[in-house]
Amino acid sequence: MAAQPSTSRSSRNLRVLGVAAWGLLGLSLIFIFFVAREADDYPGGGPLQRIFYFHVPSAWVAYLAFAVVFISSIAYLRTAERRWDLLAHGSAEIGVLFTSLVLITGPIWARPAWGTWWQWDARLTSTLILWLTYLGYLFLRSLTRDPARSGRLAAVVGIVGFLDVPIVHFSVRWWRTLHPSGPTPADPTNSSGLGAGELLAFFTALIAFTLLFAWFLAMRVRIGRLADEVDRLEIDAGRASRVLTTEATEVPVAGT
Amino acid sequence: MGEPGFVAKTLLLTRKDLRIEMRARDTLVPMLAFTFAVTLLLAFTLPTTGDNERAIAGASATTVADVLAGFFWITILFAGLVGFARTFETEQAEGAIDSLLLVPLDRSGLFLAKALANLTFIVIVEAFLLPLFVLLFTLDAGPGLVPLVLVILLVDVGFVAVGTLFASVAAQTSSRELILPVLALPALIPVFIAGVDLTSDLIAGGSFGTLVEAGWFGVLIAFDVILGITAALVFEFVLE
Amino acid sequence: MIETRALTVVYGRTVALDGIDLSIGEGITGLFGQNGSGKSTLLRVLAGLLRPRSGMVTIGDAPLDLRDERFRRRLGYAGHDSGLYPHLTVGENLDLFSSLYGCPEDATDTILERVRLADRKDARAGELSAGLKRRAAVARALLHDPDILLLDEPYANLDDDGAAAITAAIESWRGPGKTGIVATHGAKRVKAYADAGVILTRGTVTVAGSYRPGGKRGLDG
Repeated sequence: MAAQPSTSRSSRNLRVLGVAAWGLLGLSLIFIFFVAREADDYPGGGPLQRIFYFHVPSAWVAYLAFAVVFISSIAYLRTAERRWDLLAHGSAEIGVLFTSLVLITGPIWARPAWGTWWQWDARLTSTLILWLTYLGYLFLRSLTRDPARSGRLAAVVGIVGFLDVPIVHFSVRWWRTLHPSGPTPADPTNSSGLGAGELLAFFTALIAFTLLFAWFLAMRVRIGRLADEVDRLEIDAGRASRVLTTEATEVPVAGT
Repeated sequence: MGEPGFVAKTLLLTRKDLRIEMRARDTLVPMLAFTFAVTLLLAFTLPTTGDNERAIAGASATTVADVLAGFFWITILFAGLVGFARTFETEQAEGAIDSLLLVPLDRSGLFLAKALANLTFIVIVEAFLLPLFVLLFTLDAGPGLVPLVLVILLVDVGFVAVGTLFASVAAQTSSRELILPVLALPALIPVFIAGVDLTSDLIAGGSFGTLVEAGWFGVLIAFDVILGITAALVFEFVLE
Repeated sequence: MIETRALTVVYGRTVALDGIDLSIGEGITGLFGQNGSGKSTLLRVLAGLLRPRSGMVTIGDAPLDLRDERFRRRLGYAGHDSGLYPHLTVGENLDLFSSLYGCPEDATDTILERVRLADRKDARAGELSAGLKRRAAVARALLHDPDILLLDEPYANLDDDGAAAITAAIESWRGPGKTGIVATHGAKRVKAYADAGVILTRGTVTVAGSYRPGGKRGLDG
């Protein structure tokens, strides 16, 4: 079905994207460990502070991914075009992956920095809720085999889940504000205090993670298309074998 | 005889659901039984004092209010999900859903009808649970009762909107009892945080005015409006 | 006039309908085929309850659109199940749909008379025998006097009396401007009054033609 020339061009683009993403990620590692020397002066030492360069870009990619799920879900419900569903599904998987990274890297940093693995802080709590929401989304997708139905149901959850995000965020913030207990953690994403080397490392990492997201997503959509193609071939194979075995049935029309 | 309008048809369908429930008693009765059992269990878990001043030994009034508000809403949350999971049971029993989908009525009417029936169920459960809390935990809302009812209704609207929508999603899958809480619980967190906080402040004797200023009503109303409208709009794609 | 073009429906990896091209004219068309041949699937697609994977359906001159409430008002469909609420009585079920369609007040009684079910008006739909349930289901589909009638196995589980009641109800419904499709795996009863017939075999149309030689062509394809 898919035209050959465009397939090979898109696979070349995909390769370029992948090389760029991984290359930039390598570059950002060099920046993070050898250029962002300011990090060494932080209390708790350099290696700890460097988690920041993975933590924050992961969080950014997670939110970006769920925004893509939201937009693709709306587009899918409006057009019923398969590509939007593949995009939403792929983006949700990547979003859950990166939210998991956020939830893993956060406590690793928080334990020495705050003295505790977890705080019921607004940002942490809403990230956790986001993670649960999209785990539910993926679980729902695994329950329905019919792709069109699965896509529609998931799109509904993708839309509602994303609209919930800002309300979750505000509610959790007020919840904490009304009940101040324990130290309020310093905002780890506040980049205003960063030195030049740190900024370079941070933005390189941010772009690298974003490209990585784009590459993952493009790969995921491609795999989805190939899986569709396999389905189509199997259906055609089933058809062909059936034609050979078609037998005559009763013919009530023959009367008259 | 003219054809009824959107509202009349919607109410007709809600009445149909309530009538079926009155005969089958397979949604509301389990919800009430669940509510009662959970409340008793909660009562057993609390260390109570001899005197009836406050039901929890050694706790301050604010702590008691926090705990009771949490108990109240957690019970409502789970009782609601138990009932909402059955929202489309009667439609699917003998394929009535097909007949209903073909009726000349916008899908949002079907959604509203189901949501209204669920709202009725949850309000009845709350009307049962609130006196039970007064009885078992000597909860005393006092002058906060009217605002408390308002809070309860505001929570209910958002709860029922999301619960009914996700119940319709769950009904289209193979494991509807399992997937409903998985989808609904994270989405419902803001409305329940707001509900717990407002309820706790009200039963601790907080004034209505300061609560309005605290912004919680804003969260509730934003949730009700945004998710209520969205749910009514996307519902048609679930049942397609 | 109902037309389908290259209609294909796939469940998982099973092709339920495979490129169905049909045009079905006024009158009653029998839809024949064994179990699993795709009859129910075709009726669900024509009713707008199932979106095909590809291909299209036109009713009159317009593409089928279930969101169009005017189309829904013109359509009567009785599927494989009864389509009724088991806890409501037959009368309550029909009264509900009668109100939703804005039918005249006596619509329920008229249609119950017609399928000879008037004496079961106060029986719960869920407590009817399978045969009576079929009759109640057909009554609901006919209630608002639709222009397009789609019946899936209306004769299932019916004795001769029940079958005669269904046939009589269909006969009194038919008329100018009315298009009906009656799916059944046993062709005998429908053949007796159908204007045309279609045979489905494993998701494809194997035979299609009119029973009325020289008359208006009921279908071609």
